[in-house]
Amino acid sequence: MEVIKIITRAMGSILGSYFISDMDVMSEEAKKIFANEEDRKKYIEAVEKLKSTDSKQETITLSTREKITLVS
Amino acid sequence: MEGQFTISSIIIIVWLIFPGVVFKRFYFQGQFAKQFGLGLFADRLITSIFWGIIVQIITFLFYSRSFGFTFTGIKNKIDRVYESIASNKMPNITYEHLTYLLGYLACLILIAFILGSIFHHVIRFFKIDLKVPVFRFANHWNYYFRGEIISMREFKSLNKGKWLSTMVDVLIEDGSEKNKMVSGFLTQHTISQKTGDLETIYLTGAKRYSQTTRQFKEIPGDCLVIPFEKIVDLNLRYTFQIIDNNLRKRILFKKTVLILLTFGLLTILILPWYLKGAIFYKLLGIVFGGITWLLFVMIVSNPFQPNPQIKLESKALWSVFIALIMFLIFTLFFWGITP
Repeated sequence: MEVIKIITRAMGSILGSYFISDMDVMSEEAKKIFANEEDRKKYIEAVEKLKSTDSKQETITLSTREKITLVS
Repeated sequence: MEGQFTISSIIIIVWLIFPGVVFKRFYFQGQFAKQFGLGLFADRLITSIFWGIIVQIITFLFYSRSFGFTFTGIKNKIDRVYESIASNKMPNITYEHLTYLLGYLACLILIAFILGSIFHHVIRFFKIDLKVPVFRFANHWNYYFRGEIISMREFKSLNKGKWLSTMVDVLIEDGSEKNKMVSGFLTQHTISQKTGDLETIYLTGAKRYSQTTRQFKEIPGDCLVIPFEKIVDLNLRYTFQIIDNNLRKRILFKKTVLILLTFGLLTILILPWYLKGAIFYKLLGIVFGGITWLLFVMIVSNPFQPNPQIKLESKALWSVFIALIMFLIFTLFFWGITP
């Protein structure tokens, strides 16, 4: 049963990446970040820092433990 | 004479303009959808007829090969129908004729939809619209708002990674002496249906510049809507994500899936019509073939899967492989190409 769930999710991921076209003025990744309150706060802070300081890049850790490095 | 004019008009509309319109409806999609209704009526009519002719040629080649029609055969049938109408007689149209005619119309619309979508995706995928100005869509704001201008030669130096979001600093005219400065993340924009000009922009996480404290202050609310007519100027600031191994893997996964699924599914859709067999079996073969190809893409793209929770382990991989073999056998059976 667990195998079927994994296969269904993998199939959903493939069909999703094929049919969901990223055409909005905010990328899919940014939308995911903005959907999570904690990640949104971290992201906005990092972008503000890039805007107002001399910092060339900012690294944030998302709630999924994924680390992303931002540049502006 | 009036009757002739009406019949020929209907023929042109149904057989040439309509497929062209369907093609253009699916070519101008997403943020470029409003371009579909833009421009002079004469321009739109001519382009619809042009694309209609192309769709018509492809559909005729496909349909005649699938059902064994020839140009002379069809002409003879049309001649007989015309002769009957000219001599005030009811043309002898059988149920079979009607089925083929409606089938052809359905095929025409389907091919117009497929071609329009493919053209759009090919131009966007290979960024042809960014490199060749002729192919550029009318909504030029989209290229600026999505940071796509970094692919243009003149903005190449801005390219620092994968574009994530766009921050906008806007100077708004509010009727007072001093204009208002607002900053926020761009979430949406609308384009005028009639002129194609920018109408409204939508910001989230918006802040306004305070003249007294000389700092940006948060604007309470979730979404700030600014009509374009109030905007004096706007400054765009892109945020990029540096391309690391994880992101590279994700991009590779998406591209692999896109290329493999497109070419595979197109082949599965076209190939059966060159094989002998009943139409029902061909259609069943297409359904099973599509699932087979999807399972194949799952296996091939699995090493590039960026999400470890979805990545298939050996047990799940074997299950997918067995399912693939089963669907493949059914596909080959329906297409009548089993050894």
